[in-house]
Amino acid sequence: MKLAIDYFNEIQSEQNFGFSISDGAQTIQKEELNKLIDQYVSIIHSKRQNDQVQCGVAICLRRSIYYIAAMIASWKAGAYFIPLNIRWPEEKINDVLASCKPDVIFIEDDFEYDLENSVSISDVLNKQSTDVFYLDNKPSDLAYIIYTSGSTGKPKGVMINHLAYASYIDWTKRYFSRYANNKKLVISAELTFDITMGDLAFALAFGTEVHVAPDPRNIVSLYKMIKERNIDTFYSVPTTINAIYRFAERKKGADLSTIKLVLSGGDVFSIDLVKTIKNVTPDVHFYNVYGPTEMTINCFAARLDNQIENISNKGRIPIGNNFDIIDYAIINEEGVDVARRGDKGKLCVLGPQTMLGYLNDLETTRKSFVPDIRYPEFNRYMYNTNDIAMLDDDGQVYLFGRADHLVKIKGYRIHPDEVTRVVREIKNVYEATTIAVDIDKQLELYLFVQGKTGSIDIENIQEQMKTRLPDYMIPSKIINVQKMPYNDAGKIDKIKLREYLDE
Amino acid sequence: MNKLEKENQVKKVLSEVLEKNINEINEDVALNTTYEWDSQAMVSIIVALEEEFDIDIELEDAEKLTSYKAIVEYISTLTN
Repeated sequence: MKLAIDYFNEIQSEQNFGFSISDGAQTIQKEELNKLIDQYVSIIHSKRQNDQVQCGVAICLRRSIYYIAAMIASWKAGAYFIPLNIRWPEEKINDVLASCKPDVIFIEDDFEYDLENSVSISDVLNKQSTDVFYLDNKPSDLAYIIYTSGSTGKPKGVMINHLAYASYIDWTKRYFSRYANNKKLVISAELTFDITMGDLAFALAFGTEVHVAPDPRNIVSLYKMIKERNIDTFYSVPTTINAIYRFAERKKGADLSTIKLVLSGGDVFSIDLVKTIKNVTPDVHFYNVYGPTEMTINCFAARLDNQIENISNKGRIPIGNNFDIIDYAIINEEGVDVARRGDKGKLCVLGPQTMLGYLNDLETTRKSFVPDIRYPEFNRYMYNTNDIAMLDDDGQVYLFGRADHLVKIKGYRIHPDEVTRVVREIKNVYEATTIAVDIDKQLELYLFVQGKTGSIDIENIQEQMKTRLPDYMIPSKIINVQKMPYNDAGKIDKIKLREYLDE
Repeated sequence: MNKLEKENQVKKVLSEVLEKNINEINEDVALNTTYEWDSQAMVSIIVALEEEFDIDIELEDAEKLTSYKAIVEYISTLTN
């Protein structure tokens, strides 16, 4: 079976070609990259605490060629890696390190905290790397551990093995085959998000050059990189895509003409964004990709630019179709698979991309899987995404909010996210979210809304909602916020909003 | 336009985009440290500065305009 490192070695062995990584300052490729990887590998071997098992490599570096090279080097050394963000507070870094206990941590020379087993980047670059040996990867070996924030606030380490990651690369190679000649992609998301693993998969599948943007929030530097480097492939979260397209629209002389392929993942977005992309870059192919980190980056995909009319009619964005290697079921409250019936239920998925589990947390791992009720005699399990989904008559799957947010108000089962979706489409609304609040043992819906400019006409929102939602779904309170709070993952921070209500 | 006037104009732009009180705009205000200064705000700030000072900001300059301090320094280099 061809694993990630085999794809890499194959690209490196091609004549007059090789794997290429760039950041804002430098480019590294082919032999030079191999040399750097060998230096990393030598250090990993010298630090491993046990020769018999896979070792863990934590990467706590700036966004640079060295970060990406350390990922590949980990695999060459037969190790798995844990991506950290140098900007995380010390406490979070310590929490993650205490959980994954890596054999080695690669850090910047000027890193401010004192960490056990750390090796600075200049020590890597000074390492003599003769007689380097590589260790094989097995499909069952871990490829990486990505930490996601759990609902309890305790970070969960999602373990992804080489079988899962190779399956994703393989799918990329099949699904995006028409973009095989794309030359350059930009890594624009946080390196701790699995979007980066999706970018790397694309590069491994097609030999695409990897360009690491300096700062996910600095839209101008990202735009500049796209423009100056002729970037053609761009995968990011909707907020970043939205910001860069707004910049291209509003800045004199700006355009995104080099872009051929845009992928959006990690969050929902409004139809406006699809239309903006079509207006600014009419020839761009735009995909919505969906999946939890637990299913290795993505497991559903939909091309959107060629179905704008359908999206407008439906009033929502599809996640499209399951990958050819992913099976799914939509389980309703009675525990029946209602996918083919076109009913709503919890989206449950299975396939080779399924995570191994959460590191050292069997209980949470068990809870996240449910029996595959279609085949009770198999005793097989599916990963429960907790997203409410429906297979529509257009053959595509659509999402309807989180199952764990479902509430019962005045006897009606309500999805706060459904209210949010409707409000998001109202003119002048920039962002919105709805939460159920317990008022004297009775749940009520509170809507938080942020206008595109300054304050917003609450009465107008109310009027608009009345035309689009049944009475029982109209929030009892609408709160105009100046700025929606976001958490580390870039999603609306509902915990903060509740704290605000308590005050 | 003198230095102080320019500074006040920058403060005005930032207070409008970031929706903060003008008194809250000081040397500590920056991308990645000021909560309201996110990717969307960065775009709005560049566009608003261009309008306010009737200038065309080069990308090389624009990508460095990530703090109140940097913006004031940049604006002070402009003739007039």
